[in-house]
Amino acid sequence: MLRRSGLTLAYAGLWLWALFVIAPLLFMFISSLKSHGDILRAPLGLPTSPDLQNYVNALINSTIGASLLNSVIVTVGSLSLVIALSLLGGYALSRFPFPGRTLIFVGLIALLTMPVHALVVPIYYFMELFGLRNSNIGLILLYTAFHLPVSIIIMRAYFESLPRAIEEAAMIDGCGPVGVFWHVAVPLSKVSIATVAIINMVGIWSEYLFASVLMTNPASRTLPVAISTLGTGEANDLGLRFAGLSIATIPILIFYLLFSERIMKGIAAGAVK
Amino acid sequence: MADQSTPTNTAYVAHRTRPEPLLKRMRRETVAYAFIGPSLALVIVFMIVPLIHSVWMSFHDWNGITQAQFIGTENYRDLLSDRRFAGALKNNTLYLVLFTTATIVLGFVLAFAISQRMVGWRVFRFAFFVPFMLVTAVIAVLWGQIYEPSYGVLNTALRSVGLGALEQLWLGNHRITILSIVVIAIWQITGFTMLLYLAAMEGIDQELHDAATMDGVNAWQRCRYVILPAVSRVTYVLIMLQIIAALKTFDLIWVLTKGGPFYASEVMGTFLYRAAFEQQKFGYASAVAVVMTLIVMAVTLIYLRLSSMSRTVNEET
Repeated sequence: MLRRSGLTLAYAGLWLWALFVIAPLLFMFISSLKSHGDILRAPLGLPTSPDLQNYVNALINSTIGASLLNSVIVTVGSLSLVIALSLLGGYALSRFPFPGRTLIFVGLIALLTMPVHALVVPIYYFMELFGLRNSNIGLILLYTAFHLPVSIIIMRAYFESLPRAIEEAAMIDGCGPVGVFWHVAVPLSKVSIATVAIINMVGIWSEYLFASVLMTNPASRTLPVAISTLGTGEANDLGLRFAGLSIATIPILIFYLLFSERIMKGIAAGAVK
Repeated sequence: MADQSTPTNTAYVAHRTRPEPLLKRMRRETVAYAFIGPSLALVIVFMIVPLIHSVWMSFHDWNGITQAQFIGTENYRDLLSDRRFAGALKNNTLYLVLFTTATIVLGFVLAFAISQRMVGWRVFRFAFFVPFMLVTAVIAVLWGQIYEPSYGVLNTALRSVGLGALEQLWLGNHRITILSIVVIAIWQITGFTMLLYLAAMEGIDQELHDAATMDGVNAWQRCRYVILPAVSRVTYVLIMLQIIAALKTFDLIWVLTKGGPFYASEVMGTFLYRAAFEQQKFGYASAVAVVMTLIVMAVTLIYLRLSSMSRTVNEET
């Protein structure tokens, strides 16, 4: 499609951007193998005696391990709840005519435009009031609510595109609406479940603002909050900082490596909808 | 089209003439409410009620602990004359323009280069999208180390290649702080814009490309007259998404500079956070929240309006 000179130019551009993207990450991983003194003496140098001491320190002597666990619990909990509720909600909006259906659908679309960040003050206040601060359950419910509007809309669009013939056949065979949903619609929804999981996962795993305001107790912090203060202040240790950053990054890279095609497809499809 | 709609109409008429038994309808509606109910409850509790509460409290003097005092529109009047808030709006605007332009132009160029399917294109596509997957707080801390003035990578590298004159306090110099931060945001998000463009480019009809090749167009003309119009829907979606993201930006700036030095990188998000959780001015922060929500919603609506108008025009021509 392009002439030879054009292709060379395009190739050069790709390499340049790849270098720009990769260099900071490479720097992070290399520095995580260096000691604090090594990093200060030669920021660009290779480790003099590379070892995993920083990782051991991060996982054992800091709260990063606990934060990692909190993040996993919160992300898995929120995603499961979002998927279950958006399946139910999207199915109801697509299949059952009921009073208020249009209002709910339009309301959900309007909520998509709302910047939830702006709600931090009342949410902090109510969570404090109801004793849900520093509670994984509180955070799970909050994240679920924030990600429901977009997820329900995606699920509804999926069910709208699904032919009703199979469900009608099941109904003639004597299956009630709940049975049809559970035995027919849900098993057919694997693709949309994956899409909903993928487009919400990064946002939930990375969420910083609400987690930093609500999860102030060191033991209940999630990873993004714990990372932002690791190795600063009294315990100033750059090696530890970089190890913490790497620990937060490695699981994502593995996950991305395994499912990259599906993730890229899901994100592209979810964004345009 | 007409063939398809006829049977539906007949079914509808048949449906009307033989009304559904009341009991069956009630049962179906109960199921429907049971299905949508839990979602509605969560959205109302965590989104609608807080929104109403924000609006109500924006007319109060309130520190979150003692009784709130109704003060009318004073918070809003204070906000209008608050020079720090004006600065935050200015920074948001600068950030918005640079971030949106750069991510969209770079994303398009990179997607075009990748779509040539040269050796290793999958590896490039994979690599470019990595930063989008990472935790923003992690990115902020990492780039904080890169920008660090004395042992940071950037200044050290400049010194070691004899360009020490270009050394900067990347985050400490108030004139370039916001620029340094925008570079990070571009680093993180361009993979996302590239991905959307790439998906749209793959959807372009091959016949269009063949026709262009027959007409002997060059690469520039192909981009301008074949690809750009074909991916215009993605461009519209992206402009809207990036503008909203830029107006909401918080994590990156808060972790890196807390809006400093001396409010040089303050944006609406950090302004709101500071007002609420550092100064305990909850009423004032609520007013900021209302203004921020209105701005974001207005931008979205204007954008949806413009894009639907231009789409109609495109379809007519």
